[in-house]
Amino acid sequence: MSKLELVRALYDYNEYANNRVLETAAKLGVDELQRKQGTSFESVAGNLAHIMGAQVLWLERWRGNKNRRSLTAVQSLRALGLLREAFDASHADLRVFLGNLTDDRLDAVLAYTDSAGTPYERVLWQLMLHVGNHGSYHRAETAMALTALGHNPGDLDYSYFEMAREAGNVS
Amino acid sequence: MSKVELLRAMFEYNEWANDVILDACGSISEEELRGKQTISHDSISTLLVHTLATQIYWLGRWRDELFAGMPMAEQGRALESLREAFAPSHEGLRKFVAGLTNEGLAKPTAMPEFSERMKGVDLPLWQVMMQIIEHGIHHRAEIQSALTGLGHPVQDLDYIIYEADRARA
Repeated sequence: MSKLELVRALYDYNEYANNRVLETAAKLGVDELQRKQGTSFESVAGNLAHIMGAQVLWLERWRGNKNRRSLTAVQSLRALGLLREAFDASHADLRVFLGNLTDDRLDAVLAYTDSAGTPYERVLWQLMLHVGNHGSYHRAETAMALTALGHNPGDLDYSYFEMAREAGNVS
Repeated sequence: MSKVELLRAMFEYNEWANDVILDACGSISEEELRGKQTISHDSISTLLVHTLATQIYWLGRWRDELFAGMPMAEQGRALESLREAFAPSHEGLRKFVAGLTNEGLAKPTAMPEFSERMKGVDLPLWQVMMQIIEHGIHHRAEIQSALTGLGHPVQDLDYIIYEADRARA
């Protein structure tokens, strides 16, 4: 068993869980979507935009591209339809990247600069774990906000994802 | 690097992040720790118990041991007693992941009978281990949010911050 299988599973789960939260967010009115709820990025929309923005920016770095857009610009979306489109595009891009990924590449050191221009070197698998975990963290906050607004997204447990996948209920 | 090594890294991160949260809880009173919050388990204290109980339950299952019972947040020393209970859980997990093999990760693991939804379901060990990791991240995010609401923001729990801390150490 390779680590690549585990990293791919983490990102399949990430997409499944993002979609679950987006489906629940679709039940909110525009005001509720942007209402301040005490989450890291203030509202359900703000948090969703941050999760999506992190996915987009980190994938650009993994592909060797410089920071072509700032995180602030990427995560400025607030309308759910636009967020949904951006997530769909990000998930599709991640699927392509993961499909071409190898174990050797996961172990390779990647040089990148953050948005402030500070240079870093990190092993790719560490960065990929970070983005997967980052999504789980901010989805939990988003789920809290959705629940407070009367729309509990339900359990987002990894085991439920694997059960749904085994039953053929994950596209 | 194999899947085993990746899981070891994730469990080391889990321990680090739990310790950061426990340290952060040291800045609130026991009353605040037990106070009602709009999180999934009423209070920070009960959510810490839930996170810990999940670790203890599953480690016991992986070792074919009986569940010794729910950990308790003792009256008057809730945080201290939880710290004392997290320590052997982390130690047990460290020993367990150190002895893991890639072959062992494929072992079918029966999901709990007490859950109607999971009754009769077997998952490979590595998937159950991923569940524990994700479960911890989810509930720590809730606790972190509650602590921030109480005026005690917690440092970032990002995986890359953990790796940076580890590199510095």
